[in-house]
Amino acid sequence: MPTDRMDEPLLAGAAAPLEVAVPGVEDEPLSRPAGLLRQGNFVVGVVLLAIVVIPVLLAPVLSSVGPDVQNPSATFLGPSLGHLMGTDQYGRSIWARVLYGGRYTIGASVAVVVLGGIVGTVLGLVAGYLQGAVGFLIMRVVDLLLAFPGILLALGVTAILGPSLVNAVIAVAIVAVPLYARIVEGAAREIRNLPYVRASRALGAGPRHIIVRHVLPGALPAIVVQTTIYLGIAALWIAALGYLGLGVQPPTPEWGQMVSDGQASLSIAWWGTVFPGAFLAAFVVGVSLIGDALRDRLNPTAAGS
Amino acid sequence: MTAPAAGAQAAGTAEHSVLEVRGLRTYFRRGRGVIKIVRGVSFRVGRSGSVGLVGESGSGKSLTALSVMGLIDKPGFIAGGEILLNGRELVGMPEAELAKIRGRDVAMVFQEPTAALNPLYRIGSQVAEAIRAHQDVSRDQALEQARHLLELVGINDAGRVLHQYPHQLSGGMCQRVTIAAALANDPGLLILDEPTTALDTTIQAQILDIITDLKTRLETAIVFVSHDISVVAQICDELVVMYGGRVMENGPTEQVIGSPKHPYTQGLINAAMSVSGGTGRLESIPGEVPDPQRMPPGCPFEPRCPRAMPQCATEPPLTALPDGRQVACWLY
Repeated sequence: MPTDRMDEPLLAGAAAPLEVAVPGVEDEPLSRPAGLLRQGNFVVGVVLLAIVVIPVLLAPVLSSVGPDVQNPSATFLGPSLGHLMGTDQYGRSIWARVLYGGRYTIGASVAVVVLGGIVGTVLGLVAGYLQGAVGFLIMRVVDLLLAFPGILLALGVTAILGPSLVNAVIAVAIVAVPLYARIVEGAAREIRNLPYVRASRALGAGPRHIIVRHVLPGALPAIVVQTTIYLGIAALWIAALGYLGLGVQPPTPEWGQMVSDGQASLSIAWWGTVFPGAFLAAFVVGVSLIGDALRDRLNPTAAGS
Repeated sequence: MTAPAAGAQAAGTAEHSVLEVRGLRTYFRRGRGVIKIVRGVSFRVGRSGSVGLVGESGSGKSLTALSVMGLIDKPGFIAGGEILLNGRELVGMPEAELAKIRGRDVAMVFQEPTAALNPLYRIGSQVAEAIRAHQDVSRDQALEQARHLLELVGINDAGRVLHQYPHQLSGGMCQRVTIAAALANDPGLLILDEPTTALDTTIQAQILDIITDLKTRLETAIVFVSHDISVVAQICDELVVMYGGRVMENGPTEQVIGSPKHPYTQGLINAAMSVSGGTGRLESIPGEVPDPQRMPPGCPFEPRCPRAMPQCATEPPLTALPDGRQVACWLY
């Protein structure tokens, strides 16, 4: 093993413990990916996610027209080979709008978990490791935020900031912060009392060093699981805000906003609502299934042990 | 390093001491009250000296060691006393200052060797971490030093061990690694808290040999904490027998082992002898260690003491005997 990889931490509970040969137990040492692939929900989740994400990523290749191109002579056309998902009241291709719209819905949800994840993780690490007055203060604010129903909080924030995609991301990220902080704080609180953290302190390591080197890697499985689970929820809420007109503004396509757009003509053109809704549902379910599988596998409640 | 200047008020006895603990009290808050675990413990460790803290579980010996390291976490706190390391007062020292001292001037080895290493990092990385906590060296230099340290504690294939993870090593190997990490910055004082208790007897002997060897080669002062008086007697020049958070007896090892004065020390030695000596009958001290929340008002050992007398209802002070050692018992 090259020395330049010497300081890389293993993902907690990853390959290493599985290499231990338990005498008498003839369980073959599974590598992690192989183990995950044996879980049905993980496979289904990956397939669903691939069905949604690959077309979204390849939107310019898979769609000959842009999402905003109107065609007054081709309004409310049903799905056909020419228009895979039909057209809307302006003659725009639903297929093109679903694919391009996915970039906003998925992109915004990724931004939410990155933003909320980083802020929440930092707060959780600080509160969980230092505890004391600072930790107490952080966690009471977290409790306060958790006491609000998430969607209400998100609505309130967008109402204050004004409707736009960026503000929707900020609003949903604010909802995510306490969820991350709560989970990471628990993991950090547990890890800080492990013997190897005390041993590291006994050798002169300061709080920042211990948080970065010992606590964060130990909390990582919990963070990964939380991220996969919250990514789906974030997509749902970004779409909900879009549906309510508080997210992306027309004519930019976004799944939630498209559902609301097509709702008026649902009786004559179901495709305008059903296709973006189906993509949204597939994305949320796919991500959640992967999250469940990862949770079973990484078992974050045992983080660091 | 700073002994003459900083230790001006600690002149006299502290001058030749690495560590001087005076009247240490370590308490834990619980609800509105406090639980008094360490209740006025004093001892000193001379340069290159070795002191054993002995006593049953719950005697306060481990918390005494942790107090010296400044590793008492809430709800615990040091309620009183002095801890002078090389003449510098550690009680009340800010955490950032303590962190500079830990590992450099005083290091500690813990009971569970496998748990004391982070399972996520290779051995080399963990020993190098200890080196780089106090020395401004490159990672490669630190790894090279780590290899030497592992060889110092008797690991022959240090090059291979550097690249292994803790779970790939035995408990004895892990304990060698933690000792190597503790020695990384050549501390003047090494505290070993039950370093062999979790190990097999044969491995225990190996680790004890290594510690004895290091003691003579490195001239590091040692505080060895153990419940096993026979183990401590092998390593240490001086013994401090603790019970109920207090010192019962202290003195040079030969004197304490050869003619124990305190009934508690006598009980400990009889119990240890009956295990190793094979008289056919295992001796034990009847009764159990008192609950720190219901500590007897007088001598803490009085309820279990075979020679208890009415006077024992008041706590005996630690009194010097003619031969120089100290005993806290009304018999003397």
